[in-house]
Amino acid sequence: LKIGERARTMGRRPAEFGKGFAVSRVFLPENVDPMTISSDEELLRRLRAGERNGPLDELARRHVGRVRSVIFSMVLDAADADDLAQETFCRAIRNIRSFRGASTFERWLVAIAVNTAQSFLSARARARSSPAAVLEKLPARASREPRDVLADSELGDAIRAALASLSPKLRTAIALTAIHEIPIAEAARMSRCPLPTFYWRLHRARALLQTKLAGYLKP
Amino acid sequence: MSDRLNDLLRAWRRTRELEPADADALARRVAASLAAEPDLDPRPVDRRRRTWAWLAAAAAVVIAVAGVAVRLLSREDVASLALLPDARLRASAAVFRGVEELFGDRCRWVVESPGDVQIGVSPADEADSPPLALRLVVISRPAGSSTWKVAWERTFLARSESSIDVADGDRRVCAWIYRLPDGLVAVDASLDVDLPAHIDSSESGILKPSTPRCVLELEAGGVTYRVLHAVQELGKGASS
Repeated sequence: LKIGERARTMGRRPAEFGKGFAVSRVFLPENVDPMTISSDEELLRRLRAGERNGPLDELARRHVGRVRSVIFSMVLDAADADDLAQETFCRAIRNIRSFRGASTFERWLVAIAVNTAQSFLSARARARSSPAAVLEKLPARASREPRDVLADSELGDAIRAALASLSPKLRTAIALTAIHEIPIAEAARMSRCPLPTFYWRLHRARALLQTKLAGYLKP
Repeated sequence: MSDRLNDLLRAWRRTRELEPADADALARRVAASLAAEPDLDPRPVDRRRRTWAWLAAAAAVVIAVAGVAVRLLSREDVASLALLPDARLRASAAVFRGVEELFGDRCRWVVESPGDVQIGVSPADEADSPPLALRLVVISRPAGSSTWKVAWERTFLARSESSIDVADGDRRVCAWIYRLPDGLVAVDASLDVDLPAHIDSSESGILKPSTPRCVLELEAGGVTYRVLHAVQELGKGASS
């Protein structure tokens, strides 16, 4: 991020950047002065003081992209990711009393998102829907989100197919760490998985992806 | 951890992020659903309620510890059901060797079930390692009985890093095994069977060879079921 851009992603303290999380892009309307934007802590303080819609709207606007992106990389379906992002926020707000500030609000939200997506994946597995079936349900190429050539390319499809071929547990491990750059120990806690097991899942997922994407990984 | 695979995945992630207009629409949708939530009490949990919560949690821990103690006391009863006897282990090692001779290094795994054997063959490109026997066993005991019986069992013979996904009737059984440097074995196994109670278990954990672990216990129709995972060194069975 350039300095000017960082000013427009306010709402988090500088110390919250660079802890392994990628910085979410927050798009502000042109008439909003970044210097007047409240921090998450301030929004939560206002929420606790009884103010309702303003803080909720702002928290949703600020974090929905990040939450939805994590969920999408786990479930690989745009519509499901949208629904689960909505469910994540509802769960978070219902349980907002349990947020005590031990982590940042965004990390707390992402942990709920991981839990929500894992529950969804378990239910989908019980419904006997294989990853291949999920892929078949998807359009061959997403028409909604193409940002550059990767999204509309054979490579984009290959990456999505490779991720879909992983078991949900392996996919979660690679999604949280390699894709979303969450520190491994924290990702293991979010997945409610012992650290050695999580290391193994990550190792296994990387080995499978390197095999499936070998043709694209050559220097 | 930065390498070409990570770079590729992160570039892919960026292509999948919402455009600003879509993100804004989703945020509005989320905000509308939050506004529809019943009245919230967002204050942090007060100290007295937290004390009760801690007491309840402590009680739950005591109950859980008691359950584990009971389980440990009865471990000897079930270990013999979860592990292959030496003679059977030697026979399984011979089967695995024979299949490897037949298929060369393309043999990845063998799954033994009562009356059936399935063999997985694929191009082998993974490091060679001593084979392991992974046992997935469901044992059952009617209420009031002290005797456990094997209700369902499968034995996977495979090398480390093998992923096995096989049809089992109209269901599937999946397992991954990975040998850790310290001699322990990471196991991720899923089974889904009707015995007639429906057993749906998907568990991950670290196992010490020849030490079974109970990963699930449930009661249905007056019968208690336990799902056991166990790994054994197949090489040792072959050499003894």
